[in-house]
Amino acid sequence: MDVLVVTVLALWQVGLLAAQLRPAWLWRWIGRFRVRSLFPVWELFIGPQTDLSLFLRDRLDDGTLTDWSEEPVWPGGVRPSILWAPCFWRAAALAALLRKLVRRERERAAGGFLAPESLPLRALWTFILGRPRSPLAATRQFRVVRTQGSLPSGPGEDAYVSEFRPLPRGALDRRIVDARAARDDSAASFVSQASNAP
Amino acid sequence: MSFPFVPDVHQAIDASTRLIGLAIAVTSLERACGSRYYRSGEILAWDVVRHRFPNLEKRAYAGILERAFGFPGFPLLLGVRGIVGLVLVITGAGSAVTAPALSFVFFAGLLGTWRNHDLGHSAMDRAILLVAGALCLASLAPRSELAAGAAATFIAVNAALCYFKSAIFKFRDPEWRRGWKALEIVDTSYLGRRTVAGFFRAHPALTRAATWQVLGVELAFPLALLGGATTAWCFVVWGLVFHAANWVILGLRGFVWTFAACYPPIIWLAAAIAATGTG
Repeated sequence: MDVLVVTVLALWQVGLLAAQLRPAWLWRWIGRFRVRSLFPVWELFIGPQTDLSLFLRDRLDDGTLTDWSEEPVWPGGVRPSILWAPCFWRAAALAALLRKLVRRERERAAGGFLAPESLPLRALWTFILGRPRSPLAATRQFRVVRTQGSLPSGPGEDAYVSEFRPLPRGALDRRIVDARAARDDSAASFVSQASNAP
Repeated sequence: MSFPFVPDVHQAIDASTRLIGLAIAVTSLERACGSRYYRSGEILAWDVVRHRFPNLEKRAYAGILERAFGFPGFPLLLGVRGIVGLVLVITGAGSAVTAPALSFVFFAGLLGTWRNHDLGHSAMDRAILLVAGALCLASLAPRSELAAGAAATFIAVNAALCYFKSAIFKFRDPEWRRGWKALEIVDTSYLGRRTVAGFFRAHPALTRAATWQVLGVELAFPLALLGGATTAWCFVVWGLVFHAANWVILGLRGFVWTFAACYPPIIWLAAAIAATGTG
């Protein structure tokens, strides 16, 4: 058993050292076995620590646009205690997804060979379309804003602005929309009858 | 107790097992208590993360994975992993439950990092996997000096490599070289603190000193293994202060326990290398 343990650890160590050089063949091979996390490339606090904020707005059924509202990194906009913070992992995920999106879109803008819709964008849309909304909202748009940290230097610059996408309709929403359509139809038929009247 | 205290290899493995158990317990139970963030419509929900798994429905194991990675399967898995982590804190290495407990936390951790990758998982989770994996292998031969020594060496070398490799990459970053990175990190809404950012902005010399001491010590960290037990202790004390400061300022709690789990093997290996050199 000792020899087996030492052999496995030695092979793992060789893989770890090789992974630091990021050879494409090794990356593909370990990716196939879904064990990339066993061969981490150590890059703690590398790259720009960009401060990104996410804003959402909806277009209502009648075409009205709502104001931009921020989706706070920390739920409720309050930083949690340093001792116990279950929401830390939510904040970490949102920050990571926004960073990935901005990086991918920058690569796309630079002409990189990328899929039509990147993985961070698809994941972010799934999250955004699932956020709470008014039943009158029909479509939603988001933007990612690069802010300036603690410096009071204005609202920041847009790092990404999305198109509008239709919000999924729940059963209640469908009833509201159907009721509205029925009301509009009856109003339209009333107008049409009135205009056809001699 | 003599100074500098040097654990034997089994003591080093035992301390490492208890500390990694604490890291696992803290990080897993915290995530499990935030189970609402894994519900549909949240950023950690399975329908968001699932985009990483194209064509999953074609796989034979799709049903099992959907259940394990969905809600409430995944938060439950995290909760159980946290409790098993607590068991490791209590039992340490060498008990009858150590090997199954370490195997469970290792494979559950592997599943977690597979599901989330870096969405809500970080370098800390990958470091935990490495330490837990090595300890799990050592626990298969609990009385073996060779297996314990190999696991302790693996943990110590990779901790030193982690600091060293990060420092090499940091040198490529102009903000690190300019000495402004400490400010850049604390000046974000996600990790930072406005009061500390304001302090660093008002004291540029201190900002440069804070940035460069991290770079310098991380770059020198392999010396912890080569300079004997006293040198190793100096690096370990720096590491504890550094990670405690990151905890207080940036809220990075789990790193303290994760890297603390690497320190007993570092001290043991440094003393063993020094003894080999002199003997």
